[in-house]
Amino acid sequence: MNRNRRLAWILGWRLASRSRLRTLLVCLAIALPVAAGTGVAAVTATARVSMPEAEAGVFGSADGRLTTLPGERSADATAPARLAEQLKPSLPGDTRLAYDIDVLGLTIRGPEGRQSTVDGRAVDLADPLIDGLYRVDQGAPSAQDGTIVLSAALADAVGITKTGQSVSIGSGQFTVSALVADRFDLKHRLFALPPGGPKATAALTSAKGLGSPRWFVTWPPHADLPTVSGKLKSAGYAYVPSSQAAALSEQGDAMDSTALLVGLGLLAETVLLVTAAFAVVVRSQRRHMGLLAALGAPAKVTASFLRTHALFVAVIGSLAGIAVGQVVARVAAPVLAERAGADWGPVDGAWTTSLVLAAIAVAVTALASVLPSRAALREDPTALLKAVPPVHSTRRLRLRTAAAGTLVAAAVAGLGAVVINAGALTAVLGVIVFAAGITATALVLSSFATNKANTAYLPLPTVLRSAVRSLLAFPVRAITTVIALGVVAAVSTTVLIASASVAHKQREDYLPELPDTSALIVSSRPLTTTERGALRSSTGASEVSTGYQRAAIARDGKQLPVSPRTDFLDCIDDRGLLKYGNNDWQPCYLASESHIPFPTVGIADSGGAEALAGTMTDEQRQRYESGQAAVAVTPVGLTNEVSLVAMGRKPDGFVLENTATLPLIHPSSARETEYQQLPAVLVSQAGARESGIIPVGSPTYLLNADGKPVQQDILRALPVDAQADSTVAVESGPSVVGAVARLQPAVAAISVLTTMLIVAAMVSLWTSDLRGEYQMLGAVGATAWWRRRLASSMSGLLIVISCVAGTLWGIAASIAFLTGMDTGIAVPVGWLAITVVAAAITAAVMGGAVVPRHARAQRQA
Amino acid sequence: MRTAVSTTPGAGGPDEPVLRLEGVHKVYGTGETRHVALDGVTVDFHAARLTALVGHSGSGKSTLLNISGGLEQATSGTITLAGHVLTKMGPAELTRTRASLVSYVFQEYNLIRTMTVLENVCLPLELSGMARAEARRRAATALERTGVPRHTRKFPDQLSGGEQQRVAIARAIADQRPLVLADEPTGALDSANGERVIELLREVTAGGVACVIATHNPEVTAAADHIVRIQDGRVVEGGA
Ligand SMILES: Nc1ncnc2c1ncn2[C@@H]1O[C@H](COP(=O)(O)OP(=O)(O)OP(=O)(O)O)[C@@H](O)[C@H]1O
Ligand SMILES: [Mg+2]
Repeated sequence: MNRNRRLAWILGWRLASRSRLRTLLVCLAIALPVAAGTGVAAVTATARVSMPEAEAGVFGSADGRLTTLPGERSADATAPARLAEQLKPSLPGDTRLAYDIDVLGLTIRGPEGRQSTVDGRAVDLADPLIDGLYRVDQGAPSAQDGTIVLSAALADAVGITKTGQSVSIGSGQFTVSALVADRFDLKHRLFALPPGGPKATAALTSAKGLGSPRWFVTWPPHADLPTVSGKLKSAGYAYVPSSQAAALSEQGDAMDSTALLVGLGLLAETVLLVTAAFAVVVRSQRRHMGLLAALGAPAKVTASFLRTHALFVAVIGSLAGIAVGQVVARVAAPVLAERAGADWGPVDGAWTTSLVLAAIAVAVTALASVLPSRAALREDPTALLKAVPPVHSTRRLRLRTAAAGTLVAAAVAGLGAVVINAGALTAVLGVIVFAAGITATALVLSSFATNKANTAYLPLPTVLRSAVRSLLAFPVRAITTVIALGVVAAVSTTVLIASASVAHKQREDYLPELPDTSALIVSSRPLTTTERGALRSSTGASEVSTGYQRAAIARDGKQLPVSPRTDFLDCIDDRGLLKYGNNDWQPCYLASESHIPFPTVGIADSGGAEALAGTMTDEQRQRYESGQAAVAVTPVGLTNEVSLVAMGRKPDGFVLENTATLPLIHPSSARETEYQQLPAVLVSQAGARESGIIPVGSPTYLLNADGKPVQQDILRALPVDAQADSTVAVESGPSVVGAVARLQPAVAAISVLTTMLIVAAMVSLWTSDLRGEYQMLGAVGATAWWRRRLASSMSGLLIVISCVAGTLWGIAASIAFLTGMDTGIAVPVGWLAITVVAAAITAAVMGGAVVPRHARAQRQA
Repeated sequence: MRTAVSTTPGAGGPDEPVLRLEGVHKVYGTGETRHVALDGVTVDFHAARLTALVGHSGSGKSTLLNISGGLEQATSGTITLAGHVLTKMGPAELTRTRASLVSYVFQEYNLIRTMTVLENVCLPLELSGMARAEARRRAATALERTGVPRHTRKFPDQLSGGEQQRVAIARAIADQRPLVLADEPTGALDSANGERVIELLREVTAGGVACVIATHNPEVTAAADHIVRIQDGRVVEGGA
């Protein structure tokens, strides 16, 4: 059969090379989903690679962390050995511990006398238990007393250029053993020094404050964790396992399920696109198939030439898809990583997934070519020679309608099953729902349309009526196109909804960052009005608030922070422990309506209050200034009255002390969202005095600009004497958890673009299939402009039908899918509208553009 | 594996027809759409004879040709082609039989437009099992005979209608299959080109081939050795 194979090769190859436009379009139809899949897989894999790293950023290589109660301080904080002794009875033998404590406000002096007062931690970074906490840029952390590790930003500030140099803290000298950066390169000023030794202990006593002691912990094998955890709880400690880095793993899950959804969608898209494309290809080869039969070519040759052609375009298409996907991933990953505020490291090509995708595409294409060519080969050669596919009998149409009805029923049943069920099955069912739904819709529409093929009564302009008639003239072709484009619309809808919902969930779940146009300045001293004016003019800021300070009350020689009473406080039990899982605040946060964990009350004058919270009326300002009312900065979860409470810990338990209850002003033009760094509620100096509240901490300023403020510019614009010890934050810090939220616009834009490309490919394919008809129309006197309008209206109509059906089914599928995921559903109406409009415009433009310019009577079809 | 089909005429000697149709019926559709295209056709076609098949439009000429070459199945009756009974064959066997015994020339769209002129002519030769070099040699000779040797590397849509038709005839000549069925081969051509085609088909017939031409063209009828006239699916002149 060698001769037959050669023939098949020639015919298959020539089919590709002789109609280049169509080959290009079919290749595109194959390449696009492969490229998108490859890109998504590579980006997901790359982001995934960073997950363990990000986890290490919090937990090192430890099993988890032990913490004492929030805010509790210990007299023994500088003596880790003694603290560890107290812990021992609650722990199994052979437990490995590494001490860690926050050090607040330590003044570090460089060799040239430059100094900086910063926060850091006392922790031994040389301990293998916490390997990976920071990225070491230079040197190696040492466990020896008298050594210190600095972040690059801090080293810069105090004039340290390399390891081996010394800094002094109080009267002690510390050798810099390593320069490090946090995983997210946020240029924070921080230090770490190994605790326990005499030098370290002396240094810690000169700090303004110390946090509560905590330990990195690694359990001996076979430790009975539930028992251990219980023991620890009753001793006043909480254990947070690294697996409960809820934020991180949830991000991973969200990314995985989004990728899974996108993957399944792309698979369905590939199947339908390629099927539709090959329906066109096989139809164009009908006459050749008939001719080959007349010349005596066995059916095998005919079938195998189409298969060869399919394999050829499939291989080219999927290779191109992989190449494009990889390039896109390589270009996009760093950009996305930056947006996500994470260091994703080198791009993981996810080659296995790419190759699997390509293999699936090739297999699907082979199948897509085999099925219609088999069907065609079952017809008589004379029927094939007539080139026009047979018109289906009413009986077949009735069968089709029945099949469509069954599919609708299956889709509804699938939807029902999904709503009841949850889990992995959900994803599969979700895809079935929309695939079945789209198919059913298209079939119903087409059988309806064929039964009402008389278009004369339609009150439409001639061009549109002709377009409808042309669509109905080839119902099968119209159905395949509607199905394929409908699936494209459904996939893009699903992607949009899923990403928006996950983003929404993340926004709900986690603390919002500073607004893009704001910076927070924690100044070492109050700034005068003139200095604030200078700051405003040199940074181009529109507004710099008057400084506010955090509110506290003095009790037993301690300062207790003051918070607004919200339902979050209900989460704290009478022993001061958080009620949910292992003293973890996240579940409490989620359970609370207000979503304000450990919020603060701030003290500011009315100018500051207006900059932070929004404009007040004269009457409101007067009430605020006289101390009769408080202002809500963070409106979420707060009503018209607020109780200010101080959280304190007594030997017998945890207490909330009510300090004042004030009416709450919600200024006009207040923000909708909360910002972690800002106080939730503000009181004026007068209000504070009346309630016995004192200001504590450094004065903090909010700077509002028109664009994104630059940290360095603001620092430079501060008075010289305040520069060294002030901090400027332009974002809230390493908010890895918001990755999907931040990526959502990018995902949406990519989805719209992909949809446009696919629509362009399909419409061109469809229009090129009708080339002959358009040339004939030209020959009988239709102007080029009229033909273009006809083609545009036809493709526009197709797209509108497909998009409406596809979007609806996409919404149904997403609801099904997301119900299983236990995620709220956000429908990004704007993006959906953009998709539909963009698709319709693309279709109309492409439809018009591909119409042959010249009129010609048909010759050699 | 291809089983060779004997190309020698049937067992009954040189006078035996290459193609014999006996009581052939062809019915299209059922119920309301039922149409009898051939109604008991009995006719013989002999070697070295050019037969013109004439009749009004819709009388059943194309149907007869298609059934004779096994492109369509007859509803009833017997068709014997060079000793083989087509009406007993399945589609695959019919295809094999065509590959060794039948050449077609249609009114239009005769050529595979993704193949060059030379490849188009080589195609049936290779399908009937000839080596490539030999096939090319024979194809070149046939193209020379039909007067299109300059165009061997062109694709069909780069040729005029008349040239395309001559290539189709070159393809029929090259393989020397004993039966040539031509359905209005001059229908799309001007009279000069039409005459050229008739001349070529006469040459082919002279080589010992049975040639059947369905036509409305009086010049073809004039050049024919024998005329078969059909009317409403029945042979009214020249039947057996
Ligand atoms: N596939 C088919 N289904 C139903 N009827 C058919 C089919 N093919 C042909 N017919 C009918 O059979 C009859 C004979 O058709 P045929 O093509 O053989 O006519 P013809 O003699 O070749 O006409 P013309 O000279 O116009 O080519 C016609 O009435 C035609 O309508
Ligand atoms: Mg005819």
